[in-house]
Amino acid sequence: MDISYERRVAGISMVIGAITIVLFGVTIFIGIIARTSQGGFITLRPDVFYEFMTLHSVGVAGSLMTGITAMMWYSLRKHLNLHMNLMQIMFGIIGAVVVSLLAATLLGFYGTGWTFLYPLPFKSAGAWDDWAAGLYLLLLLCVVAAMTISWGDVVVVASKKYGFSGAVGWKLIAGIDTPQTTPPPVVLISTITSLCGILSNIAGATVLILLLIHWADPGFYLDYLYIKNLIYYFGHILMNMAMYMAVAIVYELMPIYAKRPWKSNKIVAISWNAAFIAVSLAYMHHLLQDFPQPFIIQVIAVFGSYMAAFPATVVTVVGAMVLVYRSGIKWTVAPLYMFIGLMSWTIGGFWAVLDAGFNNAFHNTMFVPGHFHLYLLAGTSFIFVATLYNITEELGGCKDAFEDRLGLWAWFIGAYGVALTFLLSGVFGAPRRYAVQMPGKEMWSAFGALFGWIVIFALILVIGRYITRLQKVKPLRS
Amino acid sequence: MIQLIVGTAAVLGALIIMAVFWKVGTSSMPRDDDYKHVAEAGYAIRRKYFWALLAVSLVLFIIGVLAFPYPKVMEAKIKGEPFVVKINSKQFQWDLSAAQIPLGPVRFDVTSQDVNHGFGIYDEKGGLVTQSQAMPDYVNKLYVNFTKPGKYKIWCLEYCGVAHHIMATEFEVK
Repeated sequence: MDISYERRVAGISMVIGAITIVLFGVTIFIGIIARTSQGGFITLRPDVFYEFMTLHSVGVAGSLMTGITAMMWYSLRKHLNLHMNLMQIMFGIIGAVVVSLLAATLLGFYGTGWTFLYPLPFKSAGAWDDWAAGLYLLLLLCVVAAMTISWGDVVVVASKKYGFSGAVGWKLIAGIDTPQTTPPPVVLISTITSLCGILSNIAGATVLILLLIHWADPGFYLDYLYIKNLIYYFGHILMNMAMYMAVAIVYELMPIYAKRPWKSNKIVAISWNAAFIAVSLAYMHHLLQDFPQPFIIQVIAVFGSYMAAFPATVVTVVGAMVLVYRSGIKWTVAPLYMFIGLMSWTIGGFWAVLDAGFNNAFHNTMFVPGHFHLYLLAGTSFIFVATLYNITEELGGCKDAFEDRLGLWAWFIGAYGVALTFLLSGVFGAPRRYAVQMPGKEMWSAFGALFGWIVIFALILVIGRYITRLQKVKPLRS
Repeated sequence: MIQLIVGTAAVLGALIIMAVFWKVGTSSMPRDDDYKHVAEAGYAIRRKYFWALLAVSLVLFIIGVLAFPYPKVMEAKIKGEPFVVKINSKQFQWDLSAAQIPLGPVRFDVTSQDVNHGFGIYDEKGGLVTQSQAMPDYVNKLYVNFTKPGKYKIWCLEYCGVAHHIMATEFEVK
């Protein structure tokens, strides 16, 4: 692979990493302001709370997704020659759209939450303007298109190099293992994950176009249950994809620190194909409280949720443990972020399975944000930050400082505190998405907010340190 | 009750997972250059873990399916003719066909006039008893067997707009 290409990819990833982690921090800050209000420390008007809630969920998902896509691209640089111009255009579109989305939310008072459950965008009870709903849906469609181009490039380039059936591991499963057809794990997982993302984006684009038609012509009938299925297929897979892309990065970077190989084999290929199927089935658990869904679909939803635990833990988590055990690894900040990220994924996934298995007791309670905050706030984002650290180590020779470790452990305490208080409040019946907490449950919101502020402290440290470390990176043309 | 059991399992499970990661993470030294040997030992543990996970998942899966709240399961469990309450929801209020409900089996026919709502029944202690979605054009038939008299509250459990958090009402079981 061309060295200058690799350095340019690293450079662009470094810059996108800086932009997205700041955006990530800002949207986390917005969420914590909302939680602080819910905890009774300050008072936000309900309409403002729900705007902040929407900004937080869409902003965190968008920034993390963009950041982790850039990091995946960085991790693929030694194996795939992706189209740099296409990537730059994609990141440019997403950047512009994210700013516009913020404007639609702040100026148009839009606040449906990320789920935009039909017909809520068009029935705001006077809370937001009609144009804001249309603009929001249109902008989201642009993000979906840009992401599809980016992931499509991964699938196309990987397929050209290894053949499609090689890139997605089918040849390995069939017992064909040659250097020409067997990709490294980061390519295999990124290709499967990108395919998964493209499918979810097709669902996302379909639903967004249908909603836009309805926006233009309110007489255009849409089936509520069908639209809800499409929305959750899109959203559920997208957020799981972010974690899977992060895991692909771990397969590439962890061996560098452990000084041991982590290669593709039949088991890895089977597990990631199984993960593809499991995640596609598991989305249905979002509709377990919609009784008109066919009974068999509800059974499959729970089955898919349990199934998702197998490839994740049996192959990837155990594989990472085997890689690390007696490896002599030095626990610098980058591998620590990755290792804890995998741990959070495992715990968050376990909680997700419990939510799906006993959904009637937990659906739309704070148990749900409890599980996904753990694997987003201490899982995907930890691996995202680990990659940023890896870039500055590789390009700038940076060493860890006290503040790096302080940032890591503060983030760890804050994120686990947030997730646990959310989870426990859900156990005691606290609902999610309440501008004013249900009477008797305010204490949980207060604790959640306090832990959230620890995360903010950590984020300031991490962002500050990342910018400091960037100073040591040599100019790309040198 | 189910929430407390599952919640306890969630916390205990998290502690076990953390302990395993801690054990492996702190066992990285000294380096064993015979990686093949380490990998074989690890994969032997993996096989046992796989079967244990399969057994636990199967048991939980069966328990979960048997506890499904859907008519197909509940009609087999509930004895006698249920008392029927029609629930109509709209931003941001609940309309109930009856505010006083007898002890025993009850079927709530839940629907919505406008957007998606969540029909969550809470007991006097603030614990979630059961729930279903309320969706326009569809009727969710939710069966509950009330064994304790008292006042129950309905809260909206699906975000439905700017006054979602105050969309509540109550009914009495006696």
